[in-house]
Amino acid sequence: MERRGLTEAQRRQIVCFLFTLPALAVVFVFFLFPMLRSLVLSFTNWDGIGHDFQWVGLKNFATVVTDSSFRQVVVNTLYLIVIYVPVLNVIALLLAVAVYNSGRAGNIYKSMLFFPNLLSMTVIALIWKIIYNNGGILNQFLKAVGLKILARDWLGLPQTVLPAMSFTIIWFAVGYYLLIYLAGLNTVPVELYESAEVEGVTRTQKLFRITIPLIAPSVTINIVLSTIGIITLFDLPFVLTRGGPGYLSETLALHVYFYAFVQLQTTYALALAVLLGMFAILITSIQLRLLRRREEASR
Amino acid sequence: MKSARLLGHRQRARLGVNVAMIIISLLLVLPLWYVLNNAFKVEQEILRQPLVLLPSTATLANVVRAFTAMNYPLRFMNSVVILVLSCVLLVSLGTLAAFGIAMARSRFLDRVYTLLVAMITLPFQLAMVPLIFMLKGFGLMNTYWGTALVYSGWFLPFVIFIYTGFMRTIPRELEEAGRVDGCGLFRSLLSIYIPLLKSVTGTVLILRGVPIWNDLLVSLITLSRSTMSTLPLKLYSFIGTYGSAGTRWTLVFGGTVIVSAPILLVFLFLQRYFVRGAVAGAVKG
Amino acid sequence: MRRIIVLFLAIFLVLGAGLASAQKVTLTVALMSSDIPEATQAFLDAFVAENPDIQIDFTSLPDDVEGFLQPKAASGELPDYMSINGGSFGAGLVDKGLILDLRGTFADKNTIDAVKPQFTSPMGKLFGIAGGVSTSVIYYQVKAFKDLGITPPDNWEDFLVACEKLKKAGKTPLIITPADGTIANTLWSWGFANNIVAKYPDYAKRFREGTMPLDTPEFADVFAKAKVLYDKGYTQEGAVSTLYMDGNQMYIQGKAVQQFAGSWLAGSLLKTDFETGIYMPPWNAKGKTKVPIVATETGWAVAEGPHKAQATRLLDWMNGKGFHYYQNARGNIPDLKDPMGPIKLDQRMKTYLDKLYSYKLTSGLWFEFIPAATMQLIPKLYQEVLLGQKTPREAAAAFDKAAKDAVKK
Repeated sequence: MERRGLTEAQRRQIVCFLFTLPALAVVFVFFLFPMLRSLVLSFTNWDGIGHDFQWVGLKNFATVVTDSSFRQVVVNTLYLIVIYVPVLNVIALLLAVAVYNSGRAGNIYKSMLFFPNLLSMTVIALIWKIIYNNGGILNQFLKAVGLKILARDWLGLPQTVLPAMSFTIIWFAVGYYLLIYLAGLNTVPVELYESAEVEGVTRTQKLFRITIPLIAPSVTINIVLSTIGIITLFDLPFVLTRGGPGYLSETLALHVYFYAFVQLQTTYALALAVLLGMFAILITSIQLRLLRRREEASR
Repeated sequence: MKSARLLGHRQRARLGVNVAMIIISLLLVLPLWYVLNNAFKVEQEILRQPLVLLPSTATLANVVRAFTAMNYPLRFMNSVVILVLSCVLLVSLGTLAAFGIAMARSRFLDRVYTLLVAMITLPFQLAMVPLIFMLKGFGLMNTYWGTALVYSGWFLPFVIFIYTGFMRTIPRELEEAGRVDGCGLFRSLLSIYIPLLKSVTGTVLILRGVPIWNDLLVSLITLSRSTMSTLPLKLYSFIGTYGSAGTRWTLVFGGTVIVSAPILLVFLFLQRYFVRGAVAGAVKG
Repeated sequence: MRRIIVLFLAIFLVLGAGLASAQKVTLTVALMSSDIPEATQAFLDAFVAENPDIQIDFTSLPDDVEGFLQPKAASGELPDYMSINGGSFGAGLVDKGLILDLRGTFADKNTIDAVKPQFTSPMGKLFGIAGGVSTSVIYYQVKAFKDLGITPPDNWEDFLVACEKLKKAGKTPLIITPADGTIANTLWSWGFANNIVAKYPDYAKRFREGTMPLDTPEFADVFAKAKVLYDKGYTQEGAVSTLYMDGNQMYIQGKAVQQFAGSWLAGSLLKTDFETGIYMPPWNAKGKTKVPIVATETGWAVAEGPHKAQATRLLDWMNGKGFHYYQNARGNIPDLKDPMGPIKLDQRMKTYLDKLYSYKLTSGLWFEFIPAATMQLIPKLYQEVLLGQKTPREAAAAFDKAAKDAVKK
């Protein structure tokens, strides 16, 4: 029999591979393969409808990158990543620890914090539009409490549009990442905390010495996911600001959407989406490498 | 003073945490109150008075109108079938694959894993047009299976990413001990790992189930027959920008309530699986 | 060989379906009708009642009609009967043979000729039938004008004087909505009509060929007019981020004296609690004749496919016996030779139309002639001009470049 030639470890690897096969097949057929088709089409002048096209090399990429709005859109996306990812993760982690420590009521807080996620992004954006509008709830509130001087056109000013949008995303997303942190916290053996308490460790020490190192995998997951969340974010700015004023709140993913469905320039959309995908892979692989090293160091 | 003495140091800290959490949670939910509030207002009031906490006239008419306009029972069925099929595929294929990757210690599978993680980042729009061609070729247009398979293809990388992350935190000794007892890999997955991953599965179901329930991107392309369409598709059709008063606010808010209510119930039910210490206890046992 | 198999399959399917459902045909219908869901259901029901051999599978389209239809067109999944706008997208579909050339249908014969050029492809095929005539107008509070002794101004200079009076009286003179594409229906289209069209009456052809000179002071003025209104404080607070639907609601709530909006909103904006009047946007300079806008409503098209006969029957019904169902709900301007039913048109709109049709030179709305690639640009350029990030001249240059690049491709 041939199998006798295989070592125990090799046999194990083959079985493991078979386990992954059904999932890989579905992902390949229904996701990766169509993606690759699009990748191919991004080097052509396909008009989005017909069946014929010619190869145009890197022309679509060149057009997209040299477009006058491209720089602004990249800057916006990077701004959101740099501000949003750390702020969101710190808030979500602190809240997760608080929920974890608040006893039975924790379940209620968790549900409330997760509530926004149950609504579709379109509805969320409509709500926040009503809040941020010039005559909207926020300004009405500021005027009512005598802070009229702070009232402004939150979504119409270059200085406030991205902070306002970041706030909405954090409001929306915090419950989501909180759940992942909680799942992580739930894998930390309670005994560790108990013995730490016996040794008289303070709460801050507990957070940094026990909690964070032990939930390192969830930190990794969350940082990567929240970065991806920003890179693929398009529906919120689409309803909230349509990327405006000008291009000041337009994200890369929204830019792809406009190319594809408003300007009907399919190949530009595909080229930009390919760039977006490469950008995403680059950033997340850097993050993964850095975080993996820290994860291993803290073990 | 007296109460302070009655409460120990720990209780006082816990009280502080609770007060803070109550305030934060309420602030977070406040904007949502607006939806609920508006769902029961008459149309004129929705248009005129945004900053009203309680409607002066409450009516169920919006919800009822949205219910009929959506043909709710039919759309609800469509949404549920698609959600259940997708979740079954995601969790079953996802745990299997993650387990394979976490156990194999193979270079090849690690590479595959990195590739999968990278794929989470790819924008779905990129796959859209070729996907329609394929679905048509397979005869999967306007079918529950076709839609569920597209969701699975799109979200499996995410699910595998989460499961693998957590499986790697489970001590290997557990599986090795199982091997001594004569457990095959598949049996250790079923009897050791899956029970430990209950809380993670609950999380995955929420984190991907909710977006599937609310999704427009996939259903807009895979379901073109109105008899197949889902709840959010109908809700979306109430939202317009160029129409008379633009959006039919009464229908949108009324509809949002009945579209979100089922998923809220499911969420509250799944809470049970996040019970603290589920994993810790199992490791001990 | 493949064709034969397909043919056999088709015959087989038709026979099978016929036996199963007593020859009922299910038409897939996708209409942009989110604002009139009840009326839409009512007219589809009325059609089915008259045509018992047809069933209707109805979907409500989002406002981005082209964005919705394009992936479906690419995969050959277009609905049998669908909403479509005048302009290049539909023209592309008909020239590729994906939708029918409607010349010679009853709907074609019963529609006035003025709305056909926008629905005709460069190859001369009629790809859609307009759902009516459209234009944009200024809606205003009659009482506010009377109180201050203002009569509807007839040219741009008088318009500024009127706005100044309103502002001095502590009112918001005008709502502008640069946050989404609809500002193109109003300020952009009227600016273009009055500044450019007289000089280049063949503008549509020039846009198609990429020979429309737009890096000019006249075209810059299309953007500059908005800047003037904004800088002088004649527009509402927070104008930069105002969406069309917000603007309409503000007007209904009486927060501003005038709203510049589409004639298709007459159904709601003429029915405000206060008395509302309409007048022709005075975007012409003093002493110059106005070039007003006479354009088309979103119309209907029929997909090439096995159900085209039945879908054409629906089209003929919509542009004939059934038109009034749809028209009554929207209150829009009919474009039928014989309306074949009770048309409801507000008296104020009728008076306006009589005047509108007396002009010899008119212009279309933006989407009927500019390349799709530049559509997204209009609101963005307005916002940038209002915020001072671009001068009107720079905006004109940017638009010029985009319009020419779009054709070069």
